[in-house]
Amino acid sequence: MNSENLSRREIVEKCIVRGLLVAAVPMSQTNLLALWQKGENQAIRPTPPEVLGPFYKKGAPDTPVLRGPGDPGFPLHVSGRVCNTRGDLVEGARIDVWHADYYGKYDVQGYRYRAKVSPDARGEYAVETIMPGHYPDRPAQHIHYLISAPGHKTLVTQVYFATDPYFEGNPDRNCHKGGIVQNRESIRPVMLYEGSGAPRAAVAFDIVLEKA
Amino acid sequence: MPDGDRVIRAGAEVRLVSFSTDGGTLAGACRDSKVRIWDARSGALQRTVDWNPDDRRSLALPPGARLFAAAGPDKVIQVWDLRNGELLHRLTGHTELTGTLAFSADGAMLASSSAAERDVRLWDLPSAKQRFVLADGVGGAASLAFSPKGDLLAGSNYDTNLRVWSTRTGELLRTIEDLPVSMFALVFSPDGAYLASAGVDQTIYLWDTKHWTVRRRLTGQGQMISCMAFSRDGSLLATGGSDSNSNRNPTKVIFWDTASGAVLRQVAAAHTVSSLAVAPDGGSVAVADGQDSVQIWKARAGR
Repeated sequence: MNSENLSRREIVEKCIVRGLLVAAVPMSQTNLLALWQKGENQAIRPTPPEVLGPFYKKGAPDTPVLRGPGDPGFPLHVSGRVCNTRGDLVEGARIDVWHADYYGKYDVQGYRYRAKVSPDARGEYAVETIMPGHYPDRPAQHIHYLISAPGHKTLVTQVYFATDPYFEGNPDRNCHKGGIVQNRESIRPVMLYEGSGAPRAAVAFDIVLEKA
Repeated sequence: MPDGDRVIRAGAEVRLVSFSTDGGTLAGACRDSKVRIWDARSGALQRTVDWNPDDRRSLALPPGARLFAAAGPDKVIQVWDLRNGELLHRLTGHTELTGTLAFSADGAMLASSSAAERDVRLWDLPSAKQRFVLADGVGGAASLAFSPKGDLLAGSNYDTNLRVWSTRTGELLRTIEDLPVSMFALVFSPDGAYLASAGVDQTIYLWDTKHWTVRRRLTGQGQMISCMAFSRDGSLLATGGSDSNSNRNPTKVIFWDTASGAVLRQVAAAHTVSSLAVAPDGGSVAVADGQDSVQIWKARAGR
């Protein structure tokens, strides 16, 4: 946005809307403009994209549970919040998630480890699955995401795991190894905890969409 | 490693293959940044054309093997004349990495896609000018194919949809959303009556290009399909496989009778099949299967 073209009134209004200013207190145009620009810079960065890959499949079932009873693989809980770059809730968001099984294979015949979820009224989503396996041609574990919402750009991205041996204990240094991961932010920390008497993993992954 | 009925040794992994129009020579675009041109009959190396070695991974080698295109991390598409090794064009305009390239049959147009831009660009080759920027899906084009007359451009996107554009107006004529999984290979039949698509679901779909409905399904490959080629008269369709777990796993190549859907011959391939070319006389098929050689198979066993 070109802030040079904004009138004083527009800047005051925008600052109030953003919570940067509680009322139109006396303030110079320069000070107001500085406040507005600071607010613009504070906009949340959109989640960076990663490639869609060849194994997306339409029509995944609506379920937050991808893990079946007795499935091999470390139980994994992935959750986060979906918002836009202003931090506002996004209406009608749909999240497609899919990943390889414990052995590194995608189910291309059916829908194992493929699901669609919608965020709740607070914008939060969660899926229960397993830690994906490694496969030879793409040797870093990952979960694919395709997120669409009315009025927003469709986001295609992936979640990687900081604990993956592929990153050799140093995702900062090795994030671009092999040209697989495009953005360091796509590699998420993994928390281990005890749930129902068994060890489990949890990953937080917030999704920030851009307006279309 | 399975050897063809004949083997042409390349000394570097062969990624794309194409016969000259008269069938006298076979060109192979190799991983060591060279296009090798062999005598198709004897396998003797006739010429080598070097192209820039700076990690150009997106390549196109059209039927006839007169032209060759390569795109790399500098986002420039280079077009080479394989008859004299001359660099003809440097096409600039892409702002992100280019994934898929395809030539029209007459070599007058080139289509290029970028997943990050979510666009397909259509270039006029005599002028090296960009003709249209066509809005594509969110996944990037897995394959692009021109109709034989050059009036249509078809694209299969990793979003699983097929799109068909007019090359004259740039208009999106049709989006086919019927397929749940990605199609890695697209090719029009030589008479333009069919578009063949195949990919993850191991099935070959023959789409009627008038009504864009599926006229025939060919099943039996039993693995993902990575590439396809028709014979010049359209009677034979060759399809190459890919293993979903690794490009280094063994696969197979099937030669189909297009009219009946019968399997004429099935042969083993060492790895993912990256390219197929049917000789102009229809008698043999050149296969690039991740080896440092080209396998030449007779279209029908025992002939």
